[in-house]
Amino acid sequence: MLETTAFDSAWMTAGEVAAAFAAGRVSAVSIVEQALARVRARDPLLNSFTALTELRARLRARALDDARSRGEPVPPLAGVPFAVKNLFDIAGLPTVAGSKINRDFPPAARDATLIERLETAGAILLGALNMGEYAYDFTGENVHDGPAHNPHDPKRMTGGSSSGPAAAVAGGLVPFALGSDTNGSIRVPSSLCGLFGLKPTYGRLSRARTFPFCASFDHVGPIARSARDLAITYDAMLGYDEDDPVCAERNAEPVTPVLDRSLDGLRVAVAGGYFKCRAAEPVYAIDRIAAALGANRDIELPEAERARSAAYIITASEAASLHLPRLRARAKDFDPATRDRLIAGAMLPASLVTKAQKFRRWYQREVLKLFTEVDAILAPASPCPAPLIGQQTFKLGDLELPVRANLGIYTQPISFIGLPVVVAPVPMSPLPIGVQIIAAPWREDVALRIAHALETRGVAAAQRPPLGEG
Amino acid sequence: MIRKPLSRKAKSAPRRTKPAARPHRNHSPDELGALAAAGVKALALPIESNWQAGITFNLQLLFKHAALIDGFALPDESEPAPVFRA
Repeated sequence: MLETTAFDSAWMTAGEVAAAFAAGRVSAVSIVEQALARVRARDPLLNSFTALTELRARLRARALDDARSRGEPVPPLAGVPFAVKNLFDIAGLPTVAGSKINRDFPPAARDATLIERLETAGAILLGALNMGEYAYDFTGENVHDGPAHNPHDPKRMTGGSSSGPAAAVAGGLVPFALGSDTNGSIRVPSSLCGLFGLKPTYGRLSRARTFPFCASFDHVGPIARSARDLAITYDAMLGYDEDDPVCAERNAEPVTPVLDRSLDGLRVAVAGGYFKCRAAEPVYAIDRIAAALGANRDIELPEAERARSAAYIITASEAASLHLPRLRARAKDFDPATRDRLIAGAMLPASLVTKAQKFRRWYQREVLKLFTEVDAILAPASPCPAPLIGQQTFKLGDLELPVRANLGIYTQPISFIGLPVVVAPVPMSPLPIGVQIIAAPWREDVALRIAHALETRGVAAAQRPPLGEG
Repeated sequence: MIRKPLSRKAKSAPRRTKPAARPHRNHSPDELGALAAAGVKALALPIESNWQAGITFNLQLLFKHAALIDGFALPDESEPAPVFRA
């Protein structure tokens, strides 16, 4: 067995860590101790973790080492540390969901389904991660826990609401983390922190025992430093779960076995119209990826601006309904920015919300027609690279827009109708930015194959920030 | 990089639509402030006076988005998608 000092897992992928463990080159205990040491060293700056499950991780690691020494089969993610946005239930901890109020909740009795599945696959939970309050956030700022900091420049936002997952993965603390995405909360932080992120098809991965935001378009998924890690972890989490009422009764369709399949024959187009960004960085990123894929056609998602508005309305309404009792009992304990939006959402007339729901069905049908012409659509993942923490507005062409409300302008019209998306990071200086690869429902394989091919060709990559070294 | 359009722009409304609604007018902060005041009372929300401006600002934003949807004609037979299926 190699000593811990000879094995640096700080920037290894989940696949590489698992392979090293399976080959007997490192113990799970060593991997966990290294990861915990990195958290202690770097997280005072990144502020990505809100709770560490050290004892649990050490016991789990020891059990994996013992099983391997007994010659038992090694599961696919054995020895790989991970962490979860703190809206996932972790047995023994209250599920805070970025709030002050939920700290008074009793400890969760059982882990979220996805944690259970990842641990069955051998992964080791290290703890819970920072997030925007109740997931109503694109910035990564949180008045209760403080903002997570972007490892590429700690003065800058991580994006939200899966801020801790993005900071922890980009900062080299863990190879992958779980987030949630309703309007862009996996995709925006992946873009701003230069990571790969997967928002699967609505209903694909179980949300059982996660704290909700907007039930009708809440998704959960992984953030990682490689497309292959997205595929490996996604495969480990697949499968129907009766504990999530919207989890689809479909056979698991693992992607890792087909990840290296050729892209020949795949038709890729670039989203036009509403998605034609007027800022230099997203345009550069889209052009670079489109050129690498030979995507020389534009396609227009009809009424995408209205779709974004409908998503905005349904979000406000569903979230207000969810939090109404807490707004009555403990309004002062909300982040004021969240509270004002939730109260406003409670005032929306039902007639307008129902119209937004009718529009949603119309829009979904129109967009699905496009997938008879193409297999994947490229669109910006964020309208700008990471803004400074506390920054209120940003420039988009000639417009000056509020940051908080507009970081998700390109992600909202997609998750609103449940399409699977992989964000592929495009390395740029000084800050990375991501591109959405959007596929037809249930075709995560298409988006992941494209992201993997782009990574293999060096077009997409999670760049190691200076912080992540050593 | 110059890319060609792949598909025609989709029609903005499907067959058998109702006439487009009259464009929503912009609501004044006073109007929406009054709606907010009545709403918090009806919903029994205990708000403080200095929250009013933030709530009204967000209500304005929501009505601006709602106007875009309200102005889009859909057939009477349109089904909402509250239980959503991808």
